Amino acid sequence: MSDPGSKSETAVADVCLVLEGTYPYVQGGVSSWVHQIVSQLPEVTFALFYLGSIKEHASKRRYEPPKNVISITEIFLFEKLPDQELAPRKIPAAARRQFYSTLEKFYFTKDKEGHLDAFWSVIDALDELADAGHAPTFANLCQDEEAWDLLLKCCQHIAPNESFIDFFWTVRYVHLPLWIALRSRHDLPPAKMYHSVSTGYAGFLGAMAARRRQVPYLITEHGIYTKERIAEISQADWIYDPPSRYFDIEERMSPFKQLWIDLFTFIGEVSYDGAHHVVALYEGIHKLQIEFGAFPEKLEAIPNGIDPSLFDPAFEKRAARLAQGLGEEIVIGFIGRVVPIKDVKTLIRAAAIIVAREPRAVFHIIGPTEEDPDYFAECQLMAKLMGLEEKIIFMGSQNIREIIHTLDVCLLTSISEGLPLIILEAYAAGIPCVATDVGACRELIFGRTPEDKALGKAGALTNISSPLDTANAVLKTIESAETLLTMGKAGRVRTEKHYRQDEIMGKYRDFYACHDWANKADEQTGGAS
Amino acid sequence: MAGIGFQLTKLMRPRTFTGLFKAYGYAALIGSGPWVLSMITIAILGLLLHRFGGRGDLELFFVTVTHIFAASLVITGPLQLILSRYAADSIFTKQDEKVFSSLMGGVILTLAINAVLGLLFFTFFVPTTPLFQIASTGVLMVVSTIWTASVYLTAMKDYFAVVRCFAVGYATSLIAAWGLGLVLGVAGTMLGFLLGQIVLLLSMLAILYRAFGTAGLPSFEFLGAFRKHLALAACGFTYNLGIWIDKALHWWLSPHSHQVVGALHASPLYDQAIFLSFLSIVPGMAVFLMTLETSFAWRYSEFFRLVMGKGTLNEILAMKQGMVEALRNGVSLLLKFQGAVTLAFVLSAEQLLGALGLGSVQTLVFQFTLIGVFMLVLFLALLTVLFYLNRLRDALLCSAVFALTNFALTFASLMYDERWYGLGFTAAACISALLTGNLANRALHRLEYETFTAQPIYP
Repeated sequence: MSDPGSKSETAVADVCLVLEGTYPYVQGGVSSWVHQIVSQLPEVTFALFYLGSIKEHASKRRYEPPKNVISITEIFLFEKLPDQELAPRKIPAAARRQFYSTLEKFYFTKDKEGHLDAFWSVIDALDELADAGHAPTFANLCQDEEAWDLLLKCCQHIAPNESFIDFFWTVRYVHLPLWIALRSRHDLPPAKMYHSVSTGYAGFLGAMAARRRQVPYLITEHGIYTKERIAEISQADWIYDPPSRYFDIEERMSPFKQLWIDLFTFIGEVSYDGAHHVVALYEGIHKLQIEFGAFPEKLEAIPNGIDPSLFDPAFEKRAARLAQGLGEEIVIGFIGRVVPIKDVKTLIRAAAIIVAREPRAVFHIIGPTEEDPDYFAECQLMAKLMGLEEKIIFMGSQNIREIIHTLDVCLLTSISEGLPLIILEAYAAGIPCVATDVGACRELIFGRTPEDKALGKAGALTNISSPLDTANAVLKTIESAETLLTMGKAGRVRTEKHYRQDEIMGKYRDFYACHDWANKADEQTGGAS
Repeated sequence: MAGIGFQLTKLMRPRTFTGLFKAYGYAALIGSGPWVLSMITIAILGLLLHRFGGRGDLELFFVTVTHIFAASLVITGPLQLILSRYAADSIFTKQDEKVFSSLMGGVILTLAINAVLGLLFFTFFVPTTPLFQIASTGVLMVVSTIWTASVYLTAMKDYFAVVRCFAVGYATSLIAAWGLGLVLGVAGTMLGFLLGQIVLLLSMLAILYRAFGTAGLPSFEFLGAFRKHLALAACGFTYNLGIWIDKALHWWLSPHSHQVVGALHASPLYDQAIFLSFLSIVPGMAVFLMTLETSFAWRYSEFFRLVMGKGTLNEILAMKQGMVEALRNGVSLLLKFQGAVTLAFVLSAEQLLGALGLGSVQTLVFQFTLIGVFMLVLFLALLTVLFYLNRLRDALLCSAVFALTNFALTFASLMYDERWYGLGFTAAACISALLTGNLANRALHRLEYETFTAQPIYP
């Protein structure tokens, strides 16, 4: 904004994608999905709004955005506030009291709808103060006497019997990134619609920007952000957990962890509230979305998609190989990051059982191992202790399309998944999958609709963290070359019929081109917000 | 999965309290010790002088000593408070070795400044014998240095050794002043007095060296603290100025005053009465120091222990309430106790002063100033609370108000006749006590707010 002419020159993008900790700086499923969308829809112009943690972590782009991405704006939530935020601003007493009473109403309204209304009133109050030149700074929130009184009132309410100094700092740190997000609400590039690829801070800002500019707002959720954050917080050791003073039968979370959970639940609710439409990868997850505050009438499922023809050469090669029957080695492949959530340890335990019954079996672990070096080391040690050094090969990152044909079956032991793209890619290459019963795996393996189910099963489903179950399912799948070929065929046809990238891109093209869906949502809810 | 990783929030691990909690409360005690001591010394010297006949040259000695006490306190006031803050900060940051080197630096600085000022003043404005001029300059230097060094005595645990120092020092002063006075006249009296003060200073330095003496050169690093704590330095100056300004005005402006020699004036009518009044506050001071030490200061450190040690909000607020009550009890005890003592003195003033051979006008001034010093003790008590709460600006405001009102009202009382003498000082002390009480009360009520909002956003 330093160049006075730049504002008028900023073109209004068709879509502003609000991205938190993902594309183009971080590799992963969501990022490749985003890259797919922006690359496959060259006629749509995109502005990217990237929310990162600290600047240092966003130094290298993992993807090169195509030409239709007309701008990239970045905000870092855990960077220090600029100096002008560290000094309180003089706000006329009446306006200040008015603002804090609005804020108090927000903190003390319990029912969800009233809470959201109170929140939007706070945003309006902030905008009004800013227009009058009295925008409060973070220092105001730390030093104004009204803010202090409110803090004490909240403490009496939430944590009267907990360490006050921890309450004080927790409240401050909960609000710091939120305030940075809030003050960046004016920095979102202008767009005809906003689309965030998660709830959380990204959804929070998407909702705010769309409301401000009176344009539609769409959320696509791959995982359930709120749930992931809650899982993280409950295990976090950086939040002070007071020693239990009495035996607590409900095992409630400490109020300090609860503050963080409340924050993420709340910004999730704001995201859902502001959204005109919420897309998940599969229907099975709608229940969870509703639990975290999504409105049922706004929900829809659009799966991931791929271009099966890219895997034609792999498909041909593998089919030709298996036509000769099973080889001297039966290759069971795991494709994914070696991290705890993928539960590679269960795979190693299952491998021991499989190898005992089928000596031809070998395991290729394909995927980056750097993300959690400790976990990787543990996996290596475990394989060694079980005498599977020869049988389990950690191959690191590989070009999937080039080596996938060498696999006979694809194995996924994750304890949590959305709709794993890797299953679709395996299918496209004609490879059956054995996967845990998480996310969309059930409908990927057995089919979703009756017509889909009629295509046959494309692998097997197992319970999570169950080595025996996993071993049995794998052994059954690799019993003969015929089984592998039949299941693989079913998978390939399923992908071609239901998970074609061009069809799925078409759905997003429709979202982006025509905003009827948003108007419809407005009519249904009487106007979001 | 999308979303910011949480490993980063390790950066945001809640910190403990970062504010510096130190016993700054001693500052006011430090400020009060020397002047109470000087007032008492002067009062006793005055009584002795009165008793052993008004020999003209003994009055010169008495008036000179009075002026030296006044000047030394005003000159060293800022330095005393700065040194105490610097030493407290050094101890807090575990740089104990800086304490003794700052003491040596302070001693050298005080000696140098007062040598220059003393020589200039006594040479050009007090036309007496060279021996008297030199001895007086020596007393100014040594007495000032005693005040400077006394800052460090508050950190001593061995109170008995401190008391012994003063007892031996003053006994030597009295005996030597008497003895040398017989031989050399008034210059000998001054020389003898100087001898005792030197004994006192040296024995003080000796016990201080035993307590925290370290090798290392004298350091003047504390001078940097002047810039950082300008309000504190200003406080030390105005506070001592306030205590002396009414006496100085009487010396210079009262129709009852007379020139002793050169620039030295005396106003026995006022001086004798007010210095005697100061004797009456000894019991009040003792009671006040005791309550402050035992209940208020203890709760004050408990408050911070709770804040830093994960106390709940209610525990913290209850402790603050405890401080408020401790202060209230302390003040009410002070009011009752010192009130009774003052009342007894007021009622027996006539007999008392009569026995000492002082007149009825002085009795009236004595009665007024008894109430004045009573209020002064209250003012001092509340000022100490402000120091504890680190409300330096408030403390500066209060001592400035005291200095100004004492100046203006004493000046006004001098426009009328002697029946009004002492009323200016008394009224000024009342006004200041009320103001300070008000500010201390407000600061105490906002203690938790001030404590926490003073925290930087990024510690």
